[in-house]
Amino acid sequence: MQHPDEGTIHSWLDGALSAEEAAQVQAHVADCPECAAAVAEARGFIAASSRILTALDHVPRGVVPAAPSIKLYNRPAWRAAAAVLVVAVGSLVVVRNGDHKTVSSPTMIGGVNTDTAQIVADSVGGMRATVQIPGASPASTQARKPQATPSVAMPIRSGGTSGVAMAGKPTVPADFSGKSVRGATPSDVAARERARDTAVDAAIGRSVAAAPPVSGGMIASPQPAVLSSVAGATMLQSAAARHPSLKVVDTSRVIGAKVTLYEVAPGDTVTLTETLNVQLNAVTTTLPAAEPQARRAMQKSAATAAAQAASPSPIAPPLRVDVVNGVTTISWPDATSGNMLRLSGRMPVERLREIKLRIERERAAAAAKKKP
Amino acid sequence: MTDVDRLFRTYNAALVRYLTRRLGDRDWAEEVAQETFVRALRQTSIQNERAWLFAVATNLVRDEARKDMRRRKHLALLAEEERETMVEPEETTIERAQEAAMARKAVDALAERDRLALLMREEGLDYTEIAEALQLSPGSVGTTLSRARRRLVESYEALQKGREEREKNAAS
Repeated sequence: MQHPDEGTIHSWLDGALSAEEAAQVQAHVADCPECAAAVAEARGFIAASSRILTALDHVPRGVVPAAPSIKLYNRPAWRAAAAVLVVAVGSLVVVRNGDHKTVSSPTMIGGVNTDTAQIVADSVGGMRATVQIPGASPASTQARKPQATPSVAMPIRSGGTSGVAMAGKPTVPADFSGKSVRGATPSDVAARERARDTAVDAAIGRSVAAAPPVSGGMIASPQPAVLSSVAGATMLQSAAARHPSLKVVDTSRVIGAKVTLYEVAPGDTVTLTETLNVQLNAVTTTLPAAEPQARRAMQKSAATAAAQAASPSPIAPPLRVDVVNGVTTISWPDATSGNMLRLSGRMPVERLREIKLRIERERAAAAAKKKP
Repeated sequence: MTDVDRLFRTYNAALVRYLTRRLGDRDWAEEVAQETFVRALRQTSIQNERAWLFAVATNLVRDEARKDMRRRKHLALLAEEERETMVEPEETTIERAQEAAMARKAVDALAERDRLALLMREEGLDYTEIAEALQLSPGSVGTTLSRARRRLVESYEALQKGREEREKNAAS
């Protein structure tokens, strides 16, 4: 018989040949080292493809969206500087004209409690999402090791295909040893496949032996381990969020205003502009983008200035909210100095309000220190 | 009329696994499997049950794929994008997910006929059944399978090598 082709070898290993054909192939392979190597290679392919296909069975369900990636230092200094400039220009307009039209003006007093509550919840949620990623993956990888090993073993399920064939043809001298005639490739795969088997066997043995100390040493079940570490971190983080330090990154004075740049989180800054009580008669700006806006604001506020001047409430100072190009700005008159304060940052208004409360607390504390 | 209960109990698991491997989507696979059994219900007699079921399921996938190929492609693209931003809270280790992704790529790289023959063989269909389901000559199944297996393993190993090299580069 001439050398059987690859398809015939696979048919033979799959038990698809007639008894007569099978006997012929078997007899040939027994005498032909080249074909014995080809058979070994085919066995390797059969086992390996079974193993690869098993990996497809794990189709995840119930996946959840990942938290947005943490952007550290994604806001370059120039961007902050630009924000400062925009705010500064805007503030000059305020000095001149009072204020321009507002989007909404909830009162501070009514909003304080709920605002704070929201912020805490918010930041807890935010932090948890942030923590979960670094926290969960190493912990779960570690905790799951004992479980993961059997899943490696599972793919050697090729009994359905090659097992049957092998049972039918036990006399074939299966060449797994790598002394192949055809060169490295055939035995390569087979040898690797076999090495994998051995490794898996060893791994199973090891994991069985290692399982009790591993799970006992960590925490009884992997799931709580992950959860508790995440929860712990979350609590720490939320505690930190409740008493955060406002870091002053930069202060500068432009005409009629004091600008403070706070860093509320790494890469997250807000700008506080305190407009001092000076009157300007003319505003000149060189910022092309801000200019038309400033002008429009001036025109608008000129129209509403009288009405607004008539009704400033001393108990609940109005809080003005503006959102321009994703930058939220809130402004309110300072209770003690009467200066106009403006706080801007790229964040939701709730967050700004919370920062505003913190700033006010710090200002009050600073003022109290100065007095005695 | 065919005894659908028995058919379902005997073949559903294998059929769903076959379809899941074929489609990469468990829910879709279950849907197609159910539709396959519904079709079986309408048959007065089926000669080779397993070959018939796998052939019908394969054709259902093919018909549907033909019908809205563009929509599916778009959705697959979206799903791919989304997958990049998803984490699985449990079950999957990173290595396992990577293995699954590479396996998916390697399987997708096969020619359709090779892929189907291989997936059917993995569910225990014999050469006659595969030939019947895919309308091949029985003599060509061995060649088809040997080619499919070799290509699958080779492209998987190429992907694996590429990943190892990337990891090495990332580490250094």
